Amino acid sequence: MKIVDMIKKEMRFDKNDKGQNAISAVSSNTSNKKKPSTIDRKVIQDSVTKLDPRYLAKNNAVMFTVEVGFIVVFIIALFPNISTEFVQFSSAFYFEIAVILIITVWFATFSESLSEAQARARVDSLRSLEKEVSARKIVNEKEVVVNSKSLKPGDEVKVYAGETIPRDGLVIKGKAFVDESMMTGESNPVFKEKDDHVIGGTRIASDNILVEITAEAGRSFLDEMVGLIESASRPKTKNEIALTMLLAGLSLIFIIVVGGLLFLIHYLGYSGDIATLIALLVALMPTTIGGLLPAIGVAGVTRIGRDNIVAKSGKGIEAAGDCDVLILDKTGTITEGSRSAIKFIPLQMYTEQDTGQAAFAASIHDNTHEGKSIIDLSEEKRFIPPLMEKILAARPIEFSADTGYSGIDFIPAKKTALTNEQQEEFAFISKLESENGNGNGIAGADNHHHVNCKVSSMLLELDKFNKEVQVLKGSVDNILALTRKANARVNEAEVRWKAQEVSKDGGTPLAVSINNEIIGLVVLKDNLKENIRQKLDEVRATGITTVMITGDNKLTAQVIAKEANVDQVMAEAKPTDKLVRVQEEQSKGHVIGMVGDGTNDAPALAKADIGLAMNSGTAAAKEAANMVDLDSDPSKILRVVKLGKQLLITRGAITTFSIANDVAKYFAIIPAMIMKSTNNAHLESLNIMHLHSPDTAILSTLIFNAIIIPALIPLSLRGVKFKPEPPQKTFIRNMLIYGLGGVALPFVGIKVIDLLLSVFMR
Amino acid sequence: MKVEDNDDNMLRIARGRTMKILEKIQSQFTPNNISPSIKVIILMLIVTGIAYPLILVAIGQNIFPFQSNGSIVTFNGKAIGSKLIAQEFNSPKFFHSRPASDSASGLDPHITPTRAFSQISNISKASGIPENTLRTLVELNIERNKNSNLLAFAPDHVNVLELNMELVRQYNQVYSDVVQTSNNNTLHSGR
Amino acid sequence: MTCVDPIVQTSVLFGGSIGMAIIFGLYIARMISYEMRPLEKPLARVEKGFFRLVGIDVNRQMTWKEYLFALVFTDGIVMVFIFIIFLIQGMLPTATPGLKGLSIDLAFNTAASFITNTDLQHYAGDQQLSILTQMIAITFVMFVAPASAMAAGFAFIRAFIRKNFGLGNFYVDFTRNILTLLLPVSFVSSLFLIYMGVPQTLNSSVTIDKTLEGHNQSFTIGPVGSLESIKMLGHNGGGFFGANSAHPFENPNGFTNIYETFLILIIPLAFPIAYAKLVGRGRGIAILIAMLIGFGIMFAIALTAQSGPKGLETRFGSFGTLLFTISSIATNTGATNSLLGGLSPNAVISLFLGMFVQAIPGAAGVGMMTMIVYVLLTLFIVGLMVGKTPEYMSMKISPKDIKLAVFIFLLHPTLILIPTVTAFTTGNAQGVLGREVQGQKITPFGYTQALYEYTSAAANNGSDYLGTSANTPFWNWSTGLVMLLGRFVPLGLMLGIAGSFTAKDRKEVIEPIKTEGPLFISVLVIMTFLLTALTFFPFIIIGPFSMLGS
Repeated sequence: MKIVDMIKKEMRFDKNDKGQNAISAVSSNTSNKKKPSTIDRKVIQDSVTKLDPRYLAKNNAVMFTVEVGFIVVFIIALFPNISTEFVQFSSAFYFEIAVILIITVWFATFSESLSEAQARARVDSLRSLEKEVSARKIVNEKEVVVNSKSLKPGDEVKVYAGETIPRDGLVIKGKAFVDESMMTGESNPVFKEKDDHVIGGTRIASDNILVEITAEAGRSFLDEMVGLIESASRPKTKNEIALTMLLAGLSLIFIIVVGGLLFLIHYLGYSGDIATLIALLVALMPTTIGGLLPAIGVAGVTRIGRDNIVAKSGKGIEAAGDCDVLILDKTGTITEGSRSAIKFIPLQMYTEQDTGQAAFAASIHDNTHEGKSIIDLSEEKRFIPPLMEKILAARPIEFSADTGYSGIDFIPAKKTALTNEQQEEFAFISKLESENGNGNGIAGADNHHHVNCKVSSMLLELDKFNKEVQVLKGSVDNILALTRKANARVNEAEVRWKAQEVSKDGGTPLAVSINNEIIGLVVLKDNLKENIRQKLDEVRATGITTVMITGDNKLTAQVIAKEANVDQVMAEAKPTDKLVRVQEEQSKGHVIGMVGDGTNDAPALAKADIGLAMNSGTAAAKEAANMVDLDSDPSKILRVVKLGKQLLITRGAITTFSIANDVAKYFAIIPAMIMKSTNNAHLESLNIMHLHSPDTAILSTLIFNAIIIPALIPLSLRGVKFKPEPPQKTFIRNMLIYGLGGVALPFVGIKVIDLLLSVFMR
Repeated sequence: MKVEDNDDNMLRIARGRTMKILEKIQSQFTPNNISPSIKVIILMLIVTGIAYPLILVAIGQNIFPFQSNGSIVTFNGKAIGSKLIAQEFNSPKFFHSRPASDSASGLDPHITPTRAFSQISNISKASGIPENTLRTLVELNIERNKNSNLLAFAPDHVNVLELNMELVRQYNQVYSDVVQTSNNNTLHSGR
Repeated sequence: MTCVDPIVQTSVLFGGSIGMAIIFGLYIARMISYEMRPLEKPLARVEKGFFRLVGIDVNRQMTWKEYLFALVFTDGIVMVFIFIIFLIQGMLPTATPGLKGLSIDLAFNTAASFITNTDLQHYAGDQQLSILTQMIAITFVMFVAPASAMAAGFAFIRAFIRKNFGLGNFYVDFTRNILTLLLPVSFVSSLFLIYMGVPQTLNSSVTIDKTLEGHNQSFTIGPVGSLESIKMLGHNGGGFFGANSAHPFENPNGFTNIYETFLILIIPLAFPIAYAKLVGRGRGIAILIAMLIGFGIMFAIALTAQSGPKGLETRFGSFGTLLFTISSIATNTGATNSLLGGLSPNAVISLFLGMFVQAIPGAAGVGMMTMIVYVLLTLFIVGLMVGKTPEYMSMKISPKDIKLAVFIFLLHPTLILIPTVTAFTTGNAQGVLGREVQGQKITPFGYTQALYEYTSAAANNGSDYLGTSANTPFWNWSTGLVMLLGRFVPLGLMLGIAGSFTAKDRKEVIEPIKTEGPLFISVLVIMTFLLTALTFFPFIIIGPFSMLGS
């Protein structure tokens, strides 16, 4: 057993390291390529193309207005004699303004291009999984090597071990293990036989199969995922639309304000210089958020993609920010996928060793993690039963949902024939025994060292009389039912009491019996996922309620919930209960996040506001969910929630910052505008920044306005830092940083730029 | 959002929407909708536009006839003005209101105590009434106004008309040339 | 003493009006939610008679569109009616011989002005209107306009407290507002004002043959008392006389000054209290406090400089004048007890502020609605800042709501600035500004007057510098149009928001940021003032702010 495990583990490592390289047969693998430098030529090119006013008019009203301003100022710079009333500065000044304006626009398009490039890089890395490979197409019962591109649905291809399945299809002949780790993250090769579905881009690990191609080129599972990522950046979410409205409204208000000034100001004897007014308009309009808004949205999808989650729309990610109830499966999310045996509890008549030996025997053919952990525990405690050879060769009783137990069944006298593997294992166990000087080996009849052990003697005795031996383990209820049926003697009260004690400690009891006589209990315990408690604490801090759903009994569930610090528990839940719970919580107005992988999760996943499906799950689950985690790590939903919040906060923060900036900008430009033509002492008091001259005041305001966009690109791509804490705290902190900071920073920034400019413009 | 990408489309949609709205508004003009409006208006007009002011006139004329008719003060049985409305005083023997354009209404008979006190010496010279007496009279008037405003609800001020009436009442000899009525008559105030 | 009086006045005024607002607020809450009111039986009997006469099905609920239509249609008919009365008043019985109807443009302006609750007066009431017109046109519409706005406010609040039930019945709300709230309070207040010296007679003038000094004097008089109380209570602000509340017959003494201010404040302050009763005590009180803070800021700005004595009435003094004027402008009543020209530039800035914000506390119903629109915009930013889709009372704020709200805030500067610019570029402003025009240049004061005119019109305030001098076709038509747009477009948009909210799911979910308490109040106040200040800052700078130095 252990060796098989070790071998498998080896294989797993191997796959993780080299799996991706192994897929591609024809073209080079880009996933191992160095991270593309973030600013490449394509980004620059793209950002320049986006300066097209038609593109901006459609997609970014704020920047379009700035560009119109640029055109106006540029024309004035070329023909400064157009008007004497509205043109008051030197031609050079207008050129400077024009340059700053167009750079402002370019900064905005650049940020958008940059974020799109990042999204593309993510798409490309996924695309590299499905490449053109050579395929052995069956033509007239002969294998012809063709390019996978040329395959059509209905074509049959033969795929051998080590080769890549060219496209999605159906197995029509043969059996094989297929390595799907690059698609699903599931490390164990999956067994495929006739009528099983195979995925393009996955690799045959052993044997060979004949596959009928079912997907058209560009319509495979991978392509769908790529399509999802690409389209994810396109449609705007509700919040984005609302914010766009607000920004457009603010821009219009400022256009009216500046338009009003344009016509009114000269009646009061002030100069209505057009560049000054355009500068005021550009400064007042929310250019910062207007420029960065597209980038923030795209970056959200990219960031989630970096976590190996495919979001079907930006909507899902945003909804994640609203999530206030998380419904989590116990298994796989809060606890490791499987339980481990930690303890043997014997019944009154038996010892721990008895229980251990019986459990060992019952689990010898149990390939589940639980079974293996029982073997491991027995081996560790040296509770090896006699008659190892026979046990290994015994007929396994498979676990079924009906019986609720599994084990072995052997007639000792029967001649045993061990397979190679079993022999290897037998040798290993014997070695273990002898190494520890625990006896003279278990092979053969010399087994007196087991004499003080009741189970040993029982087994030996049964063997002696050539009686049938059935060693079983299963849930306490099931095994008890079995003993009752067989009218075997059993202290039912004791079994139940001991089982309850186990539950109280959060363990799951399994009863072990030999020929309907219960020997004792095996305590299985859930392993909490690493850091799960800390993660859930963070989630709670942001005001999210966590609900754990499990089929376990209430006692066990509650202990685990307490250990993991989950708020609510749904114990003894049936699969359909998930949907009920989701609907229940939604009707109370909660926004629900949940994780699922099974087909029976699909309705709940579809109903939940944030449904994260495991890629290892069924197609139905993936279809129903609005996000798919390629790594199949359920606890990632917490990351999604965090990201959703971050996305909204980033938008809110930069909007607030943008609006708060206007205060200082007013105090820079209004004095520049009116101070020249008045000697009103009261108005002088407005010039609180004491800028060098009207020229430098306007230039420095615009320069500040422009450079703040690239300065905030990293923030908008990365997202505002999100701390798990009560929303109140988040709000106050963000208000102080982006609201108050947004008021203060431009005062400092504009003053500094003005000082620098005054050096040159003296 | 997709549709709005196209300007033409937007215009067409906007036009379509406007038409729809207009149609909807038209469809609202049904007797069912119009008749309550008109009936409500007629009823309210009768209640608030006719009955309400008339009833108040009736009550006012009967219970507060003095105030209802403009707080007209009489002198010698004849109305000489409203105690709330300033009147012209040209004689140097009288206290004078502010120039009409100095106040908001141009009709208020009130002046500040400072302004009243500053007039005292001139009035005293013209009328021969001792300054002290005038000062006392002004102070009494201030006190009276203060009381009628519950002490705290108005700044100290002087009602020029009432003050001048008081002067005429107490020194009718002095004012006989200015006030062209019989000296024998006493001055009434309505309250 | 000078220090004690203001404290006494302020505390009596606010103690009284907040106390009364609590009583009225609880009463209004019952009107909104159709609960039993005090004196329900007699009230219901009176109402039922009316409803039967009119043919109103009390239980019929209206959608926001039906409600808006009923409101606009009813107000429209009234406007046409009073427009006609203004035109033909000379031909009506009981008119003083020689009294003519108003010109068409002035009649339009006046009709628009009164039906929109603005009461901007380009006419002198004491000279140009007959007693009958003052009664059946002016006094009547002074009930109609606030009753309509309050009804809209009721409908708006209902949208937040019940789902898909309809927003109420306009005719029911309208009738109840007049019969069970405005009329009784006005009646009692009128009696008090009459007692204090406000005339109430059907005579149109008093002629004194000989004054004390023997001059001939005559002055206008009439049913002032009945008009005065509803003018204040219903935020109308249109005076019987051209001098408005500065006239001794409208506002005879310091105590009536405080009482009229008290009447102004009751209903706007009662709305947040009703709101508190209906949607949660904290939420309503937060709005009330935000309004009072805004009001306090206005008052504080006004007090930073000395106003008067020129242009102010001696009997009110500087403090009483400011108390009345700030309250009146802040509630968009628009009544004044002084000349605006007598106020300090700082006080004028604070008046502008009140008219720009329109919600501190704003007019009955409208102020409350506007404040909630501010709340929605604030919550939008707040929601984003904490990473949640913005919601109010666990109702999601949709892009449509934001769109409507943005329109409301876009409309205001548009209605103020575009006409102001037009007035100057066409020379119409210069035409009425007299000595404020110096060649090509206009003084900051002259510009302030024109800006104030449209600000007042757009905010449905009604106070103005220009008065009868703006009685020119251009000013009459333009301000008339601005008043109508400034009234009915936002009302429609707000009812649209109500329609959107009434359809939303509402559940008991904890708000990420509570819409109550100091944090929310301060954010709301900051947002409100920031939005306003950013929009109007330059216009204040080149206008009233410059008046100080020039």
